[in-house]
Amino acid sequence: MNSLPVIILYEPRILLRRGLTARLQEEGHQVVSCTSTEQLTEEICLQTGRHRVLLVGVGGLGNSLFRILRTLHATHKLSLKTIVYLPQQDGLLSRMFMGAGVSHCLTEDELENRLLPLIPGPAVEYRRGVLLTPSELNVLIDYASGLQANEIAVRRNCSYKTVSTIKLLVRNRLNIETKSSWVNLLTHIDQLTSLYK
Amino acid sequence: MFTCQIRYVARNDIYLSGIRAGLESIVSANPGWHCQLSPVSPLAQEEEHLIIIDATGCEKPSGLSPESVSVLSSKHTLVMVKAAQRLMIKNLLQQYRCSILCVDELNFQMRDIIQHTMENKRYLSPLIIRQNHESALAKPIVFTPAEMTVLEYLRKGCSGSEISKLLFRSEKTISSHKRNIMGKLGVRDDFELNSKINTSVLAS
Repeated sequence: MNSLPVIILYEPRILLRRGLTARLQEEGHQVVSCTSTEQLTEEICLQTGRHRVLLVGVGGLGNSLFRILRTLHATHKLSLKTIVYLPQQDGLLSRMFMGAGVSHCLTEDELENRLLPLIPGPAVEYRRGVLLTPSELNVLIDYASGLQANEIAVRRNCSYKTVSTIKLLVRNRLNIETKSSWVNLLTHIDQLTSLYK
Repeated sequence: MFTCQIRYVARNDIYLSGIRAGLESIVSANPGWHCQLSPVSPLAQEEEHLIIIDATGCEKPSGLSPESVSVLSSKHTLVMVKAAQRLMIKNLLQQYRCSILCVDELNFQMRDIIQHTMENKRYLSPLIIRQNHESALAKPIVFTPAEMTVLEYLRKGCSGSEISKLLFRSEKTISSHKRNIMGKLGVRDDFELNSKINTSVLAS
């Protein structure tokens, strides 16, 4: 019986996907590489007795970023360790991913040295206070996709005041103090999603 | 029987494993082909067909090691960059003749790269071509010295009132400089302004 965890890899970029798969297989891990979000959901829901680690490359997500954020948020209660890696060091984005229920946040340059020690061990316990609530995640995603407060209010069927309160809660939760870092966060998300348009 | 000699200057082992896996799939699809991947060394006897340089950690081409810079003008050189390294890409495109591969590419064929270098052509991956196209379309924008100063502070993430205190100008003056900048860049709100000044290489 193989005791190493199974790794579910979601990396749309071919170079990194091949590289990571080869590296992890050298270490004896079983790698399941997903090419679509549907396949990813299927793999996550599959019940096996073994430990599983979900590894997601953020830099290549493009338009599926929001869907992946929701997937990550939905899986925080499963016994699944989630590791994401960002293209470069970015405090704001890593806090957002932590808020979406990710266990560890790395950068692409750190992958080589820091990924392998992180894989064993149990999934991190649910951390109170860090995790975004579902409505906070919804509003954050709506803001990130370029909507204004009153448009979100119509969409979510609530008052614009509720929307701005939730936005405030998101900012508290992610420790975003100034308006410029909020705009920065939205800009960074926009850069990720617009890369492959 | 053909052996393709490939040498590399690696920084990140994962990209290299990706390249290696790509080459292996070509080799398995084409019998009679061989690939030899080895690090760059001055003692190498045979002439190499392709030199791969990993530039993902450098800001400018001059930040690379001297032996890498010396081969940048050759068409047998492939430089790997990230899509976020806009200044690097711009410099490489304008000053050198090397092939460029963006590591953020969703899909590419290792075969195309080898074919291009064999035919002495320059290989540019799709994302690089698109960035090049965008920067060629953009008209040069001229800012006044005062606007340049305000732009520097905006890039750091200062708000209007903070800039006014730092520069000893009234908030209205700063606001009007900012409006002028926004007019010249053709943006509507703070969010667009921020993404414009952080993604483009203007004035840097």
